[in-house]
Amino acid sequence: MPKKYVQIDPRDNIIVALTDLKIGTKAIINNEQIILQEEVKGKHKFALIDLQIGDEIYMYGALVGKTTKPIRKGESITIENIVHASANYQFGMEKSRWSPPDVTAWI
Amino acid sequence: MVFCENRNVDVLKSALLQSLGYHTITNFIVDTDTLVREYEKGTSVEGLLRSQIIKTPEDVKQNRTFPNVDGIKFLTHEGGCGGFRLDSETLCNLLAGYITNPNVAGATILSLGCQNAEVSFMEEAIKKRDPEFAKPLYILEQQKSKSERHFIEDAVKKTFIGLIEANKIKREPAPLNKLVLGLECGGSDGFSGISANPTLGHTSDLIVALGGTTILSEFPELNGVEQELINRCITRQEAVKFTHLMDTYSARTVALGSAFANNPSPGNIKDGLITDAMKSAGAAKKGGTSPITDVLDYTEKARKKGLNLLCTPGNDVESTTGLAGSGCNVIAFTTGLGTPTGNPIAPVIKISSNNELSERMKDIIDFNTGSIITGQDTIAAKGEELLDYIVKVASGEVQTAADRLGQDDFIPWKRGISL
Repeated sequence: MPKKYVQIDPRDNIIVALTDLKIGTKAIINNEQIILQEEVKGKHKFALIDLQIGDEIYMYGALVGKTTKPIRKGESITIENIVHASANYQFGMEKSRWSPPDVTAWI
Repeated sequence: MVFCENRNVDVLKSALLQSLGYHTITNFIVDTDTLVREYEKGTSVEGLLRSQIIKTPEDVKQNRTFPNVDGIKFLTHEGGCGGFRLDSETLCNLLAGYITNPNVAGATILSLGCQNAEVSFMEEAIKKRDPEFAKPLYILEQQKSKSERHFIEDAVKKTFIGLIEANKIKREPAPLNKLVLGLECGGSDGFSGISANPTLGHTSDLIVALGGTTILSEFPELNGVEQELINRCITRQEAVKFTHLMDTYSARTVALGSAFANNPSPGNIKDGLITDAMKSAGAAKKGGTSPITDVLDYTEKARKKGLNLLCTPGNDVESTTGLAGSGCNVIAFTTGLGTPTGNPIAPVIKISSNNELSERMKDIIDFNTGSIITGQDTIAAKGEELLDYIVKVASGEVQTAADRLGQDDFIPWKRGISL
């Protein structure tokens, strides 16, 4: 049975619908139940938790927006209730480490 | 070199494309020349009716005068004069990037003579990229020619002689560390960042691990993931150049009354990409997880193996145009909404993020990652499959949809305003 929704990163507070989800659909994320307050089309997102005005929205573990209206858990995320926001950046943070994938099949 | 030569480029196109066997974008070609030849030989009406005059693109390809030359491309543009001098210099650099790209065997350049984009500047740019440059290159100046007829005659003959030279080069196997793969997306949807982009990211990691080169571009679509990219830069020098290019670009968009925040298109928004940072965080997945070895401004040549960042607009055609100019020999292009984009000198592999698109627009899609959304495939498995597909395209075993359709998009990035 294909998954109907996904939390891409554990830091995310919005969930992506992988298919059209009807109002009242029950989603379980980290043992927590979310009941959809409205229909959410595939490719679109809904709130994992209750959000207040000005709260930060995370997806892929990155800051992707801020709320402009309160959003209840299970309500959809739209251009009506969030705006663009992005994280500041600085030098000298911890260097990423990389473990290359196995490529013996192509050598 | 300049927009006023576009008509002459079209004349060259009609003179060379069909007669040399490169007009293959239609389902079949009507070969009227055969009828004429038969008639001149005195063939009867019955004989004429029996003659074969319909050719498939395959027939045409197999009977090329220059079988080792895969294509003759005719690039026109709207620049080269007027406007900021810097834009004309950038155009010269871009053209030098195309001429020195390993996919290109030679070139004929039509120059007017008095334009901002000076021939000497382009010649310098070619030398800078490749001091050993020795491909057939013919630069013709209309203001030095006796008439347009002479000019065209000269251009056709020289191009033909260049093709004789180019045909001496044969396709040979090359190791994967010679691959320079462009990482591109366009017409993205809410699944792009979950299926197609991370798949391409895994492919990029594989290529980097194999000693090859990949290039991630479209700086307005890296807005919000700068910190992650800075942390992945091998030295501080690359990180400083990256943030300088980002900040300069961002400031210019604000000065012109817009902002990176306005990047998502109405189609992006309708399909779930509602902020630029959301679009960016998904788009950056194309770059995988490997360290960043170099940061390039538009038209700079990729010289270091590994993952490079290249400053281009988020406009997919401007970006693919730039990727080929920086040395990409293949471009992988993810899409959720579907776009026909191609490039004249680098094959563009179109990768769909969802099953519905790959079914509906199968004529323009080469590779589907929608099975990741439906849970039938993993990102790693698809990324490996995509690498095998790229190898087939690079080896000339598979033709991309954009190539088959003759989708040769070429839009140089104009950063200045018109004067």
